[in-house]
Amino acid sequence: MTDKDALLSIKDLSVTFHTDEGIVRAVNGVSYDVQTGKTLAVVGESGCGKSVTALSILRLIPDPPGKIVGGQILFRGKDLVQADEKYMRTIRGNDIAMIFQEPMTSLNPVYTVGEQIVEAIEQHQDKKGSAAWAHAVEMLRQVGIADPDQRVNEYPHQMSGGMRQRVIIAMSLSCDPSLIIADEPTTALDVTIQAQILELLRDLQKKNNMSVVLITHDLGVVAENADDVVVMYASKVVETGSVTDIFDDPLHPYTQGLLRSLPRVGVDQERLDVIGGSVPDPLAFPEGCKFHTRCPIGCDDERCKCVEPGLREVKPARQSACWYTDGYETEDEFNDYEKKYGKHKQISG
Amino acid sequence: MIFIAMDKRLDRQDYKRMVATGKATDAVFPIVPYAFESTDLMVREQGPTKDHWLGTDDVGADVLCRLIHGSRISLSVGFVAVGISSFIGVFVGAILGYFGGIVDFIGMRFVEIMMAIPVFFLIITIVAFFPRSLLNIMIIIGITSWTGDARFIRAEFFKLRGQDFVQAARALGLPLRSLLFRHMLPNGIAPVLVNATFGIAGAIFVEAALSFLGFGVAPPTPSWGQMLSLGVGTTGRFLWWLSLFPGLAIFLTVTAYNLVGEGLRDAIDPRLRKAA
Amino acid sequence: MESTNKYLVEVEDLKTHFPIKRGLFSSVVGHVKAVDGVSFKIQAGKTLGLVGESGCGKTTVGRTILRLINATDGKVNFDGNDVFAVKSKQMRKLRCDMQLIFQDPYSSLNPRMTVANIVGESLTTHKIATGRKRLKRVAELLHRVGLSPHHSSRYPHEFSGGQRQRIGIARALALNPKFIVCDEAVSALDVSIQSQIINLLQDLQDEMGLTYLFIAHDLAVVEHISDYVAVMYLGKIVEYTTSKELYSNPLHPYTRALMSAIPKPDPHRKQDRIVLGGEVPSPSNPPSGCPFHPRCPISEHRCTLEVQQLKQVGEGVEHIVSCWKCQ
Repeated sequence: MTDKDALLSIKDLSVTFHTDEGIVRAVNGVSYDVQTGKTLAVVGESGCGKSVTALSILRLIPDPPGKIVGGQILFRGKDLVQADEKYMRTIRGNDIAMIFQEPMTSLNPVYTVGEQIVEAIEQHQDKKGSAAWAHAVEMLRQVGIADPDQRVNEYPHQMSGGMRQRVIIAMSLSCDPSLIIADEPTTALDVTIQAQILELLRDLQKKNNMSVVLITHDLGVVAENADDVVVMYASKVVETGSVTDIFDDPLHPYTQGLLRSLPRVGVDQERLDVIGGSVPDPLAFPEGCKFHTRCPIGCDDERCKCVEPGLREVKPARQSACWYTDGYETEDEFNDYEKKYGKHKQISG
Repeated sequence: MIFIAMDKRLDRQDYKRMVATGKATDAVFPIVPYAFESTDLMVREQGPTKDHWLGTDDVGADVLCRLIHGSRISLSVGFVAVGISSFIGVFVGAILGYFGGIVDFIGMRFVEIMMAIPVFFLIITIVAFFPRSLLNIMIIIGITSWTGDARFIRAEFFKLRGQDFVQAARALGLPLRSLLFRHMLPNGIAPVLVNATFGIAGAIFVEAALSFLGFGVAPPTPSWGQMLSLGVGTTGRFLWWLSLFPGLAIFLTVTAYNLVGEGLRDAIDPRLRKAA
Repeated sequence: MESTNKYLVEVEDLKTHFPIKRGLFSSVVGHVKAVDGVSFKIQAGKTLGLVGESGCGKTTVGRTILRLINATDGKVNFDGNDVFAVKSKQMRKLRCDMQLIFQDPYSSLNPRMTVANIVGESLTTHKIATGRKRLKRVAELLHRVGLSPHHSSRYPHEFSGGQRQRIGIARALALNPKFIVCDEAVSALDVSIQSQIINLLQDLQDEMGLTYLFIAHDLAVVEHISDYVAVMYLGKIVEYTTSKELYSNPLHPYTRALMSAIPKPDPHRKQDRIVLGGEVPSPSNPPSGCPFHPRCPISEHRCTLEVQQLKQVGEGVEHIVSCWKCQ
């Protein structure tokens, strides 16, 4: 993933929250790029910082208690971290749109669906009044809602979860954004509805050549919808790569553990492979590599316990944050690789 | 022989005489050396002076002294009345909230009837029938003001009824009383506690109002409300010290109770305790 | 009362309808037919998986069997006892044998009770153990589920989701039950914790001979842990067979759509997905005839007319389907 084609480039982003219980470093030196027209999946479990990173792109982190304390977010060359609020308002909903997890709370219950879509349209585009409403109806049609001219006057509570999520997608598409951030868009939906919504997103993405940042914890969703994958753990990026690379050849022990622990339909397993322990408390991250306490390699390794590995480009277009990436057993193997391919490029510290 | 001056009917002169006549060698005086019943018609209706720091009332009794003694009445009215009303309210609310359905339907109508009756007039009516005693007043205030607590607890119990841990307790075969009072009540008690502090304040007000109107405790027992009513002196002058100081006392007490209530609510919530 | 029948749990034509009340006097205008004629049997020591999407009634089935919700009709036989007919005193004793693990680790533990009390309270109530004996038993249970006894003086909010779920399991085990209903017990957990809890549940089953009714919407998890699987749609079972058979040979069109809808963690797999149109219909107003027909890719006119019955398909393993096209 080179910088040049990237529509959105997050560089070394750090976000902290000041809470009563202490300082939570929710995001620590996170970097990844989103390519035009592609889907990037950000995978991780709860507390890893994937949602906070996404909210930071649109600067939606509430300022007390949260704060972006470092890094850049380059969107079409302009750094969104430094941009003023006025500029951000022109971006939000217009160039970059966001879809949240809970369809019920993302829509205002006291306004009709049409009113909410039209509000977004009138804010960012020249269309007003009946032209805006016509556009809204068209958007509803595009997301596959039957009888859109009737539905446009309905309230959110009159619709099912799947339909509400379609409405939200319609709202995000209404201003023809180049990037959609979807934060667990189907987690709250039934499996059959999830399939519908994801297929809809894929079709719309192809049609409009949009980029999508898809945040999820479901590896199945990743496998079927993503082009590129970023794996996050405990506020850091631990691995990146294309979707086939990640699933065929996971480099980081966390990714490997996640893939191994999934129950697979049709595969006979007596017991599931587990990653022992649990996700560390953000108030008390371990020293050294944040994963070492649960890592089969790192739990005994001195280097893993004391020094945090940075994210490095280990193979072409593949990054990993592990001292023993790619299964290097010894320092010598690691150095041999560097002799052959050149020094591992450091992405972030 | 040391004499500790506690008797409310004796005042400083009496003690001095006792020391003088040898009945006692030393005396420990309360800060305010007057008995709240001791009257001194020579100094009636006087503003604050160096002998009577907060002035005197219409019969010459020391205001500060009566204020201090009056606090016993006001504070105890608050606690007892609210204790009674909370007890009834929680019990009724728990039954209505847990069972719902027809029990709730009938019960709520009863609660609403109670709420529709103007409580203060009810109190005055009842007070007219029963002998005027402090205890009666406390009980009467208690049994007429439980409806707020009942509604709070009912609402909390509706919410808690569907919670998984309550279903878990049912699935464990725990008896109803355990479900209601061990599992649900501690989780729903917070609004009642906060309401209790308002209730104490309210009870103090009601008692003051009753006393002001002459239905409360009978003189010479001091009560802040009663003292407020003496603000208008016998000669039609406005005796400001008789209104200001009891009023200030009521204000400070009510504020203090509110703060205690909020602190109590926070203290019993285990989530707010720092993790061990 | 010991049962000579080899089935521990027998459910016969279970119906749970919730009345819909409208109007000034709350008159009943209709019913939400959450569970509408469900029957199955579970052998001791086995696991029945119950799958379906939201609104299919699977959670209601679990709670109705435990008599936490009142059934409208039907019979449940547990260990020889008619669960709906026993008096409350005997029901309390029966409850020791049938327990429940909840989905939400955050709301299933009383936030104001210590772990020791949450796990141990039932021991005192049922007079199984008090005082030091109780403390010992609680320590044993906590150890068994992977927690340490010194956790017992803490409150639920001090624990993570996975740990809370373990506490819930310890609570369910306290009374030494024979049968546990796992109501989406792992759905709310992180992926890496899910596998830990699933392993724990399996280990406990092997050790204690437990019988599970495993309710879930994640087909991969259900397949892994269950011996038999029943698929529910709108209050009825549409397919029932062994776990292996269901995943190698799903017959009912809903089952097939459900299986194909699950995203598989394999980017190379070709997606020949059956995407169902339409929304899940409301259980208060189910479609006529076969409730699945409006969304069914192979529905015909006959499907709108008759309600389908479950019938055995084929000669071999037990496999019942409610679709005339499969029979």
